[in-house]
Amino acid sequence: MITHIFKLIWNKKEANLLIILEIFLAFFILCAVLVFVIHNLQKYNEPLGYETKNIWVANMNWAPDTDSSSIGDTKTRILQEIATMPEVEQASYCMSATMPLGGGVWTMSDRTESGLEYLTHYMEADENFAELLGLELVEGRWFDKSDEQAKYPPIIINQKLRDQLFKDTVALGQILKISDERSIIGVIKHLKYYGEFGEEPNITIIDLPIHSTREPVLLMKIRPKTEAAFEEEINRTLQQVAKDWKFTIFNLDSRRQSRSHNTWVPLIALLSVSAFLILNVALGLFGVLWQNIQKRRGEIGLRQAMGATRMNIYAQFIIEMLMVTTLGILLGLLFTIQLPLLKVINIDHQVFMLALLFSALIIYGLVILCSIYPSHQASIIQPAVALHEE
Amino acid sequence: MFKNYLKMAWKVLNRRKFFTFISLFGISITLMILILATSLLENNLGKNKPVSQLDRMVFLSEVTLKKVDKDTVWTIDTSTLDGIIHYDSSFAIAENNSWTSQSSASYYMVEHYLRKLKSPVKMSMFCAEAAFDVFYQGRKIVLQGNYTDGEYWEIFDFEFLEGKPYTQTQVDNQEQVVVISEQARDEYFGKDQPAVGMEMVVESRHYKVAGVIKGVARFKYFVAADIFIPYTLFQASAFTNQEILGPFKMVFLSEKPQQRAEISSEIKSLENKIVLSNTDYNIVRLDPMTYLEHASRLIFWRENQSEGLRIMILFISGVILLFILVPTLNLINLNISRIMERSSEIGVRKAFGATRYHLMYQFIFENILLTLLGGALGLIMAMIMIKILNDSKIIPHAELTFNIRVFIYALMVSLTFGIISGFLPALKMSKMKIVDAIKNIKI
Repeated sequence: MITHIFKLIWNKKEANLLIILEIFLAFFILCAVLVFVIHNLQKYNEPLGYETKNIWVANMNWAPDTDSSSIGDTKTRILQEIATMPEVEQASYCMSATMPLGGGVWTMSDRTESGLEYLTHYMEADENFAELLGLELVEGRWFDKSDEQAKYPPIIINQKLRDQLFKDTVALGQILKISDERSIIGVIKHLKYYGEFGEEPNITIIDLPIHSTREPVLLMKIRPKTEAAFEEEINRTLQQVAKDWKFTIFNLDSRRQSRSHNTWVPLIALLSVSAFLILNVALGLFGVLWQNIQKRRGEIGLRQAMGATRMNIYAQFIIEMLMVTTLGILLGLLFTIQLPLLKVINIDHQVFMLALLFSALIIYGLVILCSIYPSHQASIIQPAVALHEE
Repeated sequence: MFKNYLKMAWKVLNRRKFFTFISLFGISITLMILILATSLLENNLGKNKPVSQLDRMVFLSEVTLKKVDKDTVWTIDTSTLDGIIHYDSSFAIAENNSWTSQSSASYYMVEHYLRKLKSPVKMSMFCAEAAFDVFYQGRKIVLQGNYTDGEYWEIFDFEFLEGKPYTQTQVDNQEQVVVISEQARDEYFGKDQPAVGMEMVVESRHYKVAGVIKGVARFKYFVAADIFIPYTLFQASAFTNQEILGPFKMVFLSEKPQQRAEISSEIKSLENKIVLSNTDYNIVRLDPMTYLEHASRLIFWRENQSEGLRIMILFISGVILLFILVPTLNLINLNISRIMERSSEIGVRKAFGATRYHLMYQFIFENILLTLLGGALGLIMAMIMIKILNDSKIIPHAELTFNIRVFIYALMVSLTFGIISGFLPALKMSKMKIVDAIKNIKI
């Protein structure tokens, strides 16, 4: 049966070549779109690692002539003032340039004693940071007051960096050279620095002392259902404590949403464009098939006269279409496989395989869907009528 | 003749409504998406206000300081022998990049080096990264700020709704005057209220509004802002230090588009002239970029900026090509399989002496008519989509516009579309033998 159908396809190679070409292109485009979509959805599925709801962030800039020795006092006074407000549950400082979703990035690279090279994002935050953001500690603890007496300044790393450096050993107590020699006291589970669609980097967090003169941001956890007008009150309070400093407040949750929005919009646009494209191909295929069956009435009549059942005719047309599709997809595979092999693009193996699989499934599904009605039309042709026409 | 073709084409379109629908659907959706895409690209990267002189501009927004020293670099190879992991280490002398710091230029850098460049005809300094929270009548207004000099307004041709820009003299005198965007005016003073001469309080400074500009899409790097302030009102510390890195970006205008390379190479030549007072670093890198290079660098990050642009152009043309190819193939397929429908007509016409070319012209004409019809539909759908996109604010601050250039692109695309998808089927049809054609007549 298969060889017979193959012969039928071969006999009409010109027309079939065009269909194969079209399926090949559709497969190719679908693959490219799905790689992008699956890649992003996989990222999206990994846990963010921290809360953004009800968290407000105040950016602060010193006045140009601020005396650096007074900064620590002013920062402490700000914390005290904020603590008196019932709407604020908790407050914490984090270095502005290393704030998650903040836009700034500090990275550094070095080697461990055993010679493993690593690259890590660098953050500075105080002792309340983990609780405020709801970071999950898997090992050890967060910074506390006892760290001031420690021999080595403490650092906290994320699970990803831990797995890279200390896969089979103990991480706690290990020394890393992050500008100075520092000792690991805790490991956090996740911290997707760039938001939901970003890849989680390696992260190292350093204790941010209150008297640090690097410009921080003030994170505040606000009681749920606090009105937005409260922002002005916070701004006024901050401004009263530090008259010449400049404060701008933003909502961490809307920052996260707008970050995600920047990926969602192209994602949905791409998906809908390719959906139209595929629908277009499907309609075209449907039209071509239908027309072909009108042309092959004679053949169908003859087959039925020779004893082919309705199911035979049905199967013949669907198998014929599936074979043409397979040829198109094979051609597509031949091309797409080259991309990762020749290292033209650098994509995750698993994502690529999934994209190939889904594209093939979608195309097969559509082809079957498009051939059902025309094949049905073919199967109900009456041999007497068809042969009479001939 | 022409009228006859038209009549015939109309009859054919009406004959099989389902097929006409499939063809029109494909063409119109494809064209709609293409029009939307060109409109988006035009809007973001095209030569329109306030960057009409785009092709004469060179930007310097990135200054990089590096500390590079010679160092031994260890390489560790791991290998597993009998289940035990062995480490083989080897070392080589190589350049080791230990610190990198990247930002824009400082005032010192601008005044001592960049302002002294000879090749640009105009240049301007600005800092577009300011943001202000303004609380006004119980509402919070977030304003994106841009500190500029007076020449900024000569390089970028903003459309002023009222008033005029501040001058360099006003900037030098530290006058508290600002230019605000239409959106800032609507939020602060109320919709379409006159604002020129009014007072605006931002961070307890009282500014006088000098002019109101038409809003600019947020994507427009270097020019999107709600409030423009003379740079001399920037924090005083920025003007006294002698660092190289600072908050300021520069734009340079060349006489002619071709002379931009001169400006770039003159900027590049500064790399060796700059004296670093800070011994933490020993290498300066300046990256002058055109507007397109800057945009492509943000999307397709590459160390080398012209490579970023090349990849973007390749990517966009690749996508468009693939995107047009699929519906074209689809249309060819449909047309070829529909020829049989018209075999009787072809046979009769041939028998009465129509040449191959006559038939081909006719068929391609019909096809062009179909694609133009689809194009018109696509155009209408694109206009509706643009309206929806603008109203829904899915793309913040982007005013997609529909202009004559986009229309001409669309028309050209529809025509090529029609000719390409009509050619192959027409060829096939015209080759048909009279006998075969007439024999196939169906009831």
